[in-house]
Amino acid sequence: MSSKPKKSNQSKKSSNDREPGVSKAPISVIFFVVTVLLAYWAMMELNTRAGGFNRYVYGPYESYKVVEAVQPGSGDDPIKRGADIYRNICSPCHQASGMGAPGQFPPLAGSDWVNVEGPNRMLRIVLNGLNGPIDVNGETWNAVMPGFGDVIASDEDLAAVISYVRNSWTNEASICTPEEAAAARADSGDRGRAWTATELLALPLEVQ
Amino acid sequence: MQKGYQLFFAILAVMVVSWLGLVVFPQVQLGNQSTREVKEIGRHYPTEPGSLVLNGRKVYQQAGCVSCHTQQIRQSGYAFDLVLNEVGDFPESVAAKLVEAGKAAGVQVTNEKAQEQMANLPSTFLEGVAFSVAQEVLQIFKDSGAKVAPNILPLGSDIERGWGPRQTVGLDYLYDQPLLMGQQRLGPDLANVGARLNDRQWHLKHLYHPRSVVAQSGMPAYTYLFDVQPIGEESSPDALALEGEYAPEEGLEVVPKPEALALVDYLLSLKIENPVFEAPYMFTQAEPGEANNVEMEQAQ
Repeated sequence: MSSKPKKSNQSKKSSNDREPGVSKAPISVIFFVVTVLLAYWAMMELNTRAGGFNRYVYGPYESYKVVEAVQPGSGDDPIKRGADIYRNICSPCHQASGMGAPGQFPPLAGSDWVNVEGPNRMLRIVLNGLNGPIDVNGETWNAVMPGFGDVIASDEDLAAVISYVRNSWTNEASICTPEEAAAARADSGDRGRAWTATELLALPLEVQ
Repeated sequence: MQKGYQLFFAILAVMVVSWLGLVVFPQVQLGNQSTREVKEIGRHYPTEPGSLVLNGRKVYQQAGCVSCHTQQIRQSGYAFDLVLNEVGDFPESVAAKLVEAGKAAGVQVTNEKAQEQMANLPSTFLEGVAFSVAQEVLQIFKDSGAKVAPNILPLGSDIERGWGPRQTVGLDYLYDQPLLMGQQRLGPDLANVGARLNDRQWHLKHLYHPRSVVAQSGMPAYTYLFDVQPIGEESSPDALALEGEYAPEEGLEVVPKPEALALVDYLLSLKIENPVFEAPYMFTQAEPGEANNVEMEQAQ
């Protein structure tokens, strides 16, 4: 553009010297097709391999969900699940510490009802509730606990929260399996009323 | 010029789009990070480098190390080891589930093998399985009473070479200003060199004459970082213990200048030794000592 040859006669200009401009010549359809295909490919590439443009998603991990799922120790641990359920349902009365409240709610931590061979009696209490006097660690409590069989509808959740209580604080007892929870639930059936301590003591420790 | 404004706006649009994509968007995506607590090590990561390390960093820049060495570990994939930690109360069902898990991973597991695995806890019963398989296996063992942990293994040629336990991510470069990530690998990657080769004397000898410690090294000798001086009444405590053809003449000793000491401080500070959220790996507290000596002999 700048090096214009010093020629007065415009018609003698070669094609190279012509002023650049926009012609009205039609653009090939292939150009549009290729452009659209390239744009499509680029979008697919960003959609599948950009990890949602999340700053925590790198390299071989596909998405934030995957990064979260592969974190060590994030497996499906019944105790952790039980801790969540306990926090929501049990801790208002029995407290997060498992110590209960003096004179009102008996403790679960170190309780002689928890640290026993099988979870049978615990399962019954949670399913249908407890009414009347009960001896816990040599102390007599007189309180009412409602049943949570309907609230904790899944056997897995029920087993998880029982397992959590049996393995938290100072407690050391066996894990409760969903099969045990299901068996206890089926055995209680349509009982519909709370247990008393005497009735419970007549039951075996293990789920039959 | 005909329709110059069209041309001008077309060029402007191309420039603006590239600038947004290459400068602004990455800044929005990765910028503005800060140190964060890493629960595995119980402290914030990364930590701000000290002044000695920063001095060494300047020497690293001046000596041009960055033109031959990268500081980035790449990862091409990941797999899982599945470890049985506890059997629980139902050994028979766990044994059956071990066989089932083997089937899910396409591995032949007999009942005897399952019993053997249950007898030697913790036992890695599946190695290097894909994420989907690991999830399937966890589902199999769900609520079985057994404790099964998936251990994530980063994969890739860099990790196979032992250059680091995981890939490097944006957070690792928080205090790296200007960025010394590097582009060419004429020498090995240095992102984790402080943990791989944790020996001050080795690094000093290597800087003074690389072939005195690594026979096939192609690295230039940085002799100007050292003084060759006559031994005084006593030999200097910092003097390098060189042998053979690399040893100085009788009555002379090789003493590192402060720049060399600072550079080694910087190199020893380069460590990737904790997982971060973006790049998890199975973290175990390393036993100090032994592992490093083995590495030293194999160093290339």
